[in-house]
Order: sequence, then C-alpha cells, then structure tokens
Amino acid sequence: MSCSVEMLNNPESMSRIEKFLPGLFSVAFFLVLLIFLQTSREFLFYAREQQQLFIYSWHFFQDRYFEIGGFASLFSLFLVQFFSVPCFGSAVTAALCSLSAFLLWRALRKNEPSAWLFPLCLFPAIFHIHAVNDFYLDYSCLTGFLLAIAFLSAYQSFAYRLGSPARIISCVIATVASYLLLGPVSVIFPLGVVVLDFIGKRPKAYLQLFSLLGLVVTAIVLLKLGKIETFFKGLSCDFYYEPLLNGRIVYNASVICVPVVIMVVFLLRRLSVKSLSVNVIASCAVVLVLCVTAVTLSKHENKDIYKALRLQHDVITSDWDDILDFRGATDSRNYFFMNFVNLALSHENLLLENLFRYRQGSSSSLLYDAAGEAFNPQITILRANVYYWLGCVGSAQNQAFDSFVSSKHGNPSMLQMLVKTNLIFGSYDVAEKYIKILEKTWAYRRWASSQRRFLHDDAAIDSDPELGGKRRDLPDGDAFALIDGIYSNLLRIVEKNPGNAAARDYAAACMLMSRSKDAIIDFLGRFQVKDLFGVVPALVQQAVVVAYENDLEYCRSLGVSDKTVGEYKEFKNRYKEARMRNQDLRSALKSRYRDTFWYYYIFGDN
Amino acid sequence: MRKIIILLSVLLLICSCSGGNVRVSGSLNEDATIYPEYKDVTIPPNIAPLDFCVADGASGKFSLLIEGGDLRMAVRGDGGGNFEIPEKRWRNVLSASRGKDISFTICRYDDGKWMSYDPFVMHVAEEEIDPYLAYRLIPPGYGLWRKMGIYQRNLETYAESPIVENELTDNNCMNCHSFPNRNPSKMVLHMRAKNAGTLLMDGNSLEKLNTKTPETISALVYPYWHPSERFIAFSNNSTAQSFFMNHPNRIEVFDSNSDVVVYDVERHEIFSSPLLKSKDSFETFPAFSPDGKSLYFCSSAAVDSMPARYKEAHYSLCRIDFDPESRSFGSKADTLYSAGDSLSVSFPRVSPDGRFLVFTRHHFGNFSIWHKDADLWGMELRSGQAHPLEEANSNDVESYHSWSSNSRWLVFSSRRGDGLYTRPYFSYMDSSGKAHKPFLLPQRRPKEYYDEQMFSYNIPELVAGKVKAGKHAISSLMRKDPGTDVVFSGDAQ
Repeated sequence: MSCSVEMLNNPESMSRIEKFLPGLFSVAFFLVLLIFLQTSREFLFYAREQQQLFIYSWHFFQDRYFEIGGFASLFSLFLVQFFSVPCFGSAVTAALCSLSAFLLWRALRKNEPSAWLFPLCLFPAIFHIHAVNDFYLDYSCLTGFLLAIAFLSAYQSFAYRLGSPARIISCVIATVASYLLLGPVSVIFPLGVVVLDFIGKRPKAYLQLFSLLGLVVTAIVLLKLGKIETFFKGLSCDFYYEPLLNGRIVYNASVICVPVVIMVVFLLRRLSVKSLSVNVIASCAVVLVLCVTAVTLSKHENKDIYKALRLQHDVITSDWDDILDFRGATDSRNYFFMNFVNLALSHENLLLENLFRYRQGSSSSLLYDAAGEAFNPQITILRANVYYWLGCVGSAQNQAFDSFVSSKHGNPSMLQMLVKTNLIFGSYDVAEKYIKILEKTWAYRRWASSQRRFLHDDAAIDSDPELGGKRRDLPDGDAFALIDGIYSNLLRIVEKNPGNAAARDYAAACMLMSRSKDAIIDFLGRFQVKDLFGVVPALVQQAVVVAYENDLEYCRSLGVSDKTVGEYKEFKNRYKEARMRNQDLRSALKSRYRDTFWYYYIFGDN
Repeated sequence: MRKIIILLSVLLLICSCSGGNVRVSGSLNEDATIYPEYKDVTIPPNIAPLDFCVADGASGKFSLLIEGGDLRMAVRGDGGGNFEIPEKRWRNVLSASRGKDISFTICRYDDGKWMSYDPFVMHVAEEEIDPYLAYRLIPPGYGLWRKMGIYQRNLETYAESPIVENELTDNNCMNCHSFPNRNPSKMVLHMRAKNAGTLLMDGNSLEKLNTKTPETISALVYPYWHPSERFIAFSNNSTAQSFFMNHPNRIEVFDSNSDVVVYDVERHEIFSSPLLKSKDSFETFPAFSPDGKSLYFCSSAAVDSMPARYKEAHYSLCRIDFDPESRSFGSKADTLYSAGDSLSVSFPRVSPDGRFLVFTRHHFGNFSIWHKDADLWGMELRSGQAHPLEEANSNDVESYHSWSSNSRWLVFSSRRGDGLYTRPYFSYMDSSGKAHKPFLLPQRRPKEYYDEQMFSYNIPELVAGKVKAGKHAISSLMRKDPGTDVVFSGDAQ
C-alpha cells in the first residue's frame, strides 16, 4: 500500500498514470453506461430497430444522404439495424457516448489540462444519453453528436499549424459541411472552435466568429429554400425530434455543455495542483456531480412508454410468458396494457380460462379503441397484431400499413405483416414488392426469401398453417370492416371458420364483457356452444346460467355442468346474505368470486 | 506525354459511354422481357431517356443497340441488366427520329459472342409533350401518413423537385393541385387538418383562402380552372371511407353529399346554380370546356344511408352552359353519358382543342382510384360517341388523367404495376381520339426505383413549365396567415 502511494507521489509515475487516465475513465464510463443501458433501457434499442429499415440499395443511400444531416442519419440507420441483437444497442450507445467524451478531451489537449479533470468531458455525454433515451428523438442525434465532436477534435489536431486566414476559412467550410452532413447538432463544432480559439488566445481569434456567422447564414438559406421548418429547429436538437411533438429544451443541454466544459476545464487548468489527493478528490467530486445529474435526469423519463416498448418487443418475439409475468402490465388499469395481457392470454390459449384472473375494465381491455388516439403508431401497431391474430386480415393490413407509413424510416415487423396479409389476399405483386425490400435488409432477408415460395401459389398458401388458416377466416361478400365494431367482425369470422380459436375466444370474451343478457342470448343463438368449444369454458357456462337462470335444464343442455349450477346457487346465496347484512358487496364477494363472470357482471370490473 | 494521357482518357471515356464494340454474331430468336414494358410505345420527341432493364431473369453481360434516323448508339448494360442511356445522345437520336421509329436491339454475351434478341421499336411522335409533370406523392393508405408532398418532374430529364412538402406544415395533408391551361405561374391546392386552407398562387403572389361557408357543405375540393383564369370550379363533398374485410378494392371512398360551385378569384366569392347544388343529387368533378362556355360535371341521384348503399351511387356525365361575363349558368343541364344503374363516370377532362373528352368509367361511386374495374373512356364531343381507350387500359385501375397543351398526350394514373401503387403513364392520342400504347414515367434504374418507391403518384398534371413558388413561402403563408374568408354570393341563374 505504502509502495503504491510512493509510486503515485513519484512525478514520473504520476505522469504515466495521467497519460492513461482519460482512456481508463472512458473505459470505466463505457462499462457503467453499458450496464445501465442494458439493465434499464434494453427495450428502447429493440424499439429503435423497429423504427427503421436499412435497405442496401443505391436509391436508399441517395435519398437519405442528400437530406440535411444525411451522413449522421445514414450512420445511425446503419448501426440501428443491428439493435435487434441483444446487448448491441446498449454497447454501441455506450461506446458512442464514451468515444464522444474521449474525443472532446482530445480536442482540449492542446491546452494541457490535468487528466484528472477528464470526468468533466462526460457531462455532454450524460446530457445526450438522457436525450436519446427519449424514444421520439432520432438516433442520428447521437451519431451526429459524436461526429461533430470528432470534427472538433480533428480540426484541433491540425488547425494550430495553420495561419489565421487558412484556419478561419477551413473552419467556416467545415462548419457548413458538418451542418449539411450532421444536422443542427453540428453547432458543437463552431461553438467549440470559437471558445477554444478565444481561451487559447489564438491570433485573430475573433475572426472565428465568422464560422458561427456561416452557420447562421447556412440555416437561413436552408430555411428560405424550405429545407428546414423553422430557424429554431434548424439550430436545435428539435430537428431530430418526432415532428408533431416537441422535444424538451433540456435535450439541447449536451450541445451547450460542450463550450461550457471547455471553459471550465480551461479555468481549472490554471489552478495548477500538484497534490495527488487534491486531484483525486476533485475528480471524485466531478464524478459525484455527474452521478447526481444522471440520476436527476433519469427521473424525468416516461416509464409508461418504456413499458409499452417492452410489451411490443414481447409481441414481436412471441414472448407471451414475459407479458403475463410483467407486473407493470398485469397490474395496470391502462387499457393499452390490458390489451397486451389479453393478447398474451389468447396466444397461450388461456383467454377464457383466465380472463378475470387479470384486471379487466370494459371491452376496451380487449381492444383499445379510443378515437382520439386512433393515429398513435403505438396503438396502430398493437391493433395490427391483435387483428392479425384474430383473423381480421383486412383490418390488420390497414393498421399495419398506417403504422408503416407513419414511421419515419418504416417498420420491419409491420412490413412483414403486409407481406403476409397480401399473400393471404392473393395480392402477389404487392407482396413481392415488399419481399424485395425486405430482402435488401440485413435482419429480414432470410425471412423475406422464405416467403417467395408462396408467391402465385394458392395451394402453398392454403396448406400453410398460418397463412392458410387466415385465408380460411376471410368472410365472403363485401362487408366493411369494423363498421359495427370488432365484435360483429369476430362473429362473422367464427361463422366462416369455427376452427379459429383466437377469434372464437375473443368473441366470447367480448360477449362476456358486454355484461348484457341480450348479447349472451344472441351468442348462444348463433352458435352451438358445445360444438364450438367442445368443453364449454367455465366463464361461458357462468354466462349461460345468468342468461337462463330460470331454466337450469336448458343450461345443462347447453353444456353447463352441475358444478357451475351449484356454484351459481352458492354465489347467489352469498350475495343475498351480504345484502341482508348491509355489507359492502364488492369486498364481501371479491376474495372468492373475483375471477368469475358473475362478479364482473355485477360490478363491471374486477 | 500529357497529350497522350488526355487522348487515352477521352478514348476510354468514349468506349465506356458507347458500350464498347458490339459485333452481333447471331440471333437468339427470342423476345427479351424488359421492364418497364416499352416495346411499341409511342413517345414524345422531348422525353428523357427511357431507361429499362432486362427482366427475364437472364444474367450475364448485356448491350443495347439503339438506331434512330441515321444515328446509332450502343449502351453497355450493368450486372443487373440495366441500361442507362446517355441523355445527350438520346436527345440526338430522338430529334433525328421525329415521326419515325427508334429500333432497340438487346444483345447478350454468350460463349464469347454477342447474340441478339429480337429487336423492338418505339414510335416517336411529331408532337412534343409539356415539359413538366406535377403530382402528389402519397402512401396509398387509409388513414395515416407521415410524409407527402406535391412535386414536379422535368420530363425531358430526370430532375424532380418539390413544389411543397408537408414536413414544413406539421405533416398535414395536401391535395388537389391544379393549374389553368397548364400554366405554371398559377396554381391552386388545398391543405387539410393542421394549417388548413386553400392556397392560390398567381406568379409571386400567394394567398390563403378559408373556403368553408355556412351555405356550402364543405370547404372547396376538386378544382378545375376556367380558361380565363378568373374562375375555378370546385366541388364541395362530404366524403368518408370504409375498408373491406375481404375485397380486391380494399377500400371504398364515398360521398354522402356533394355540390358544384364556382369561385371568383377576383371577388373572393363562390356562386353556384340550383342545377349544381340540388338536394336530390350529388354533383362533383367539375371541368370547364376550353372555350369556357360549358361546365362539365358528374351527377348521381342522392343516396342516403351511406355506406350501406354505396353501390347505388351512379354518376352520369353532364354539361351546363356557363357565361363568364355575367357569371351565370344555363337553365338546364344535359346528360352526355348516362350511367344508368350499372355505371359511373368520374374526372371528365376535355382536350384543349375541344374535340374529345376523356373520363374514367367504373361500376359505381366516384372514387375510381380504388376501383379495379375503372377504365379510361373517350368521347368525341361532336358526335357524343364514347369508346374505351383500349390501348391505354389494363386489367387494373386507370383513373386520374390530364391532357397536354397540344391535345396529343394524355397522362393518367394506373395501378397496373403491382395493383396498389399508382404510377403515371403517358399515352399518345391521335387525331381520331385513339389512345396508343402508353409508357411509364421514365426513371434511372427503373426496376429498382419502382420496386422501392413506397409512394403513389397522385393527380398527375402536365404543366408547360417549372413551378417557381418557394416551399418556404408557401409553408410560411399556410402556417402563419389566418387566411381570407370566402363568401357565398348565392345561386346564379
């Protein structure tokens, strides 16, 4: 111990340590960030991968590259296509952030700051990681951020050799170029150069203000050309944000933070401290402030959106158990989350068995249908998945198409669904068009090629369990979808294809949740429930008893067991008893009957 | 030395452009399948190179020999069988072939020899086409979109530029761009949802209009300019849509009410006639005659309980007199093409020479773009005889169409490519009103382009020049200006 202290007090050893400190800090930051992102933001990366298609084609490159910030956008699209690989998104994001801190430090090294101050360079990355944790901020904001700092670092590595005119002209050119290539986050570059030249007392540093002027002029010209919407967007991270929403102003903190960090590092450099302990304490203090900042920022994140992203990933990966084990969904009173739970129950063939073991509200628990949110892609994606599972192929296609076109760079799982729905409908040319696009992607090309066997081959589709089954669900005639609500569509599908267990169970669940005797009687009139279900599920038996409680023999003929009849009698007795005692009916019946249709029928939720 | 290097470079360049020395050793005696299908099409003498590719799955080295007039050129295909025809040399071949044919011979390199497929021709018309095409690019969907815009394409080159894009106007909906007599300095278009209003452009002057009045059933919808450029006929429509559970048409768009009105650009007034605004019928798709004395429109007996009775709306082609001086209409409307109870007409468009009218014919309703049975029909106005434009039609949808200034070209939208994504096709219309085999809007690497294009070309309109209005000016006006309220001045006689 004493040996190592001595070593640290040795100026040569100290200098060697300081040489490696930025690298060590960067690696440590990378590891901490990786663990943080992987444990708390994993599903954000999967969701980002679902927000785009990276197509290996000349037209795709051309279209993306010639946008403002096109290079950062292409770089981002390229990286994000691999985010479906576990850990990759966290690792890349942590690496980009750590690298940005390290490059910022490299840009400062001409001012010879103490290596112990390196943690200050992590502040912009901390603010930026907070911003890109917002699902609605495009990932190109992060790649642009890194590349802008790389520009700054590269510029600093050679600019000091140049005379004033060359230095200033090259900076103005680099400012305009970085703006066009990276977008508004590139403002970091001229800001950093101006501050560094001023504090470094470079000759004619004031002339570097021309680069800022160049930036403003570029933004104005692009505004006048109609390439950017507003001046504010043209110079802020709002440029990368979902168009109809407003990004938080704090998302620009990383950009502002860069010149601030440069100035703080410069000021602290003057306090030339030789003592190791003071340096360590200063470093620890910065790290502490960094941690507090990170924790404070993380409190402002929207947890419901993250929950939704996790559930969407579970749907894509068919991880139904995870949905049913996820308390955030199963304990929620939010219809949107309940939809996921019921979809998972249906996939596990447990919908009618366990319907009321999970929280249910109205029939919106089965399919969220809030008109005001009809155009929210999160909802259209969920609906597409529910409709497709139920065999409402037209509605699924509609929602999948809307979800695909409302996403800035497309949505691969929705495009896959469009391939399948078009195959089911026999629209082979459109299906082939989508297959060709998916074949030009990294992650979906194999799947896409595997679908080619269905093109123009009705027999292959008919014999496929998934596509053939859905094709058998298609109703005859030219009925409109959803014009009378999902329930009527489900009834048509079940009538056409009684073997569709998902549609059958959802239809029965809709009937139960309607809490209407008429609906139960109508359902029993349409279908021979014994034939439809084989063994009539307990919940349906309970509904039959409610509808025909005065004719228990008839109930028995519909498949109601003696056990159910007995339980119903007992339920009624308890109900009457509780009423006579003026007890709270909900609490009196909840513990024993919460899972039954009878409880839901009376109270409307469970 | 320097001169030798330059000379060698020039030679190399010539060789690479010309496709090298192709000596055809024999014939394969077979037809090459190409995409787009350009064989035997009639093309204007000012069209951009009609690049195409060999689409029969054959691989290997390909060359293309083009002969027109006294000129010959060879184009080397790339690995995917795409031929990129150099623009300048193509123009020379075109101008040498006016009124004649251009011959194309595709050659495949087999066993060290160039073997030729059967040659095919394109017919070059004498008459040019207007140099610009304006269209909306929109995903062919139902309810949601993110990006859409109105664009213009120089038909003599491949240059495409936006007129206005919704990224600057909060991703709203924009539609129904229209020009008077293909004049690029005047234009009208609508924006819906956010920043809603009608944009009227006149040179550098832009105006935003709020066109919903208490007396009309909706804001202004389908436009058509009067040749005097003082009036624009519009429809007012109460439109909704429903999509099918299982139907090749996917979706049905229907009106539950509609009228036709005329907007006076100078007075900011709209006016109509009881014959265009009847409660007992739906009137829509107005179009003025080139002399401005007639207004054509489509009319169906009113149908209630939409969408349940959507198949019962059958629109006939009608005409009414219009006097621009007195802003008055005739006292009766003539039915030029009766739809009966099994047909429907939409988008009547009269050729600028006033001889022909082309309309879209389908079985019912008015939103023909979602009707697989929709075809183009022509009518000789003097005789009133209608006939299908057989060469232009396909088994899939043909719908919106517009004429060139010289009445010799018709551009129309069709879904024949893949059944969903609408593409613009151009058909030569000869002096007898017959359509010739159409060609698809040329693109560089067309197979790749159209395979990856996820937008439909909507409302293709030929324009005589480039629209110069700035995107920024338009979007600023639509975002910030409250707009001028249009008033309804009553029913003219």
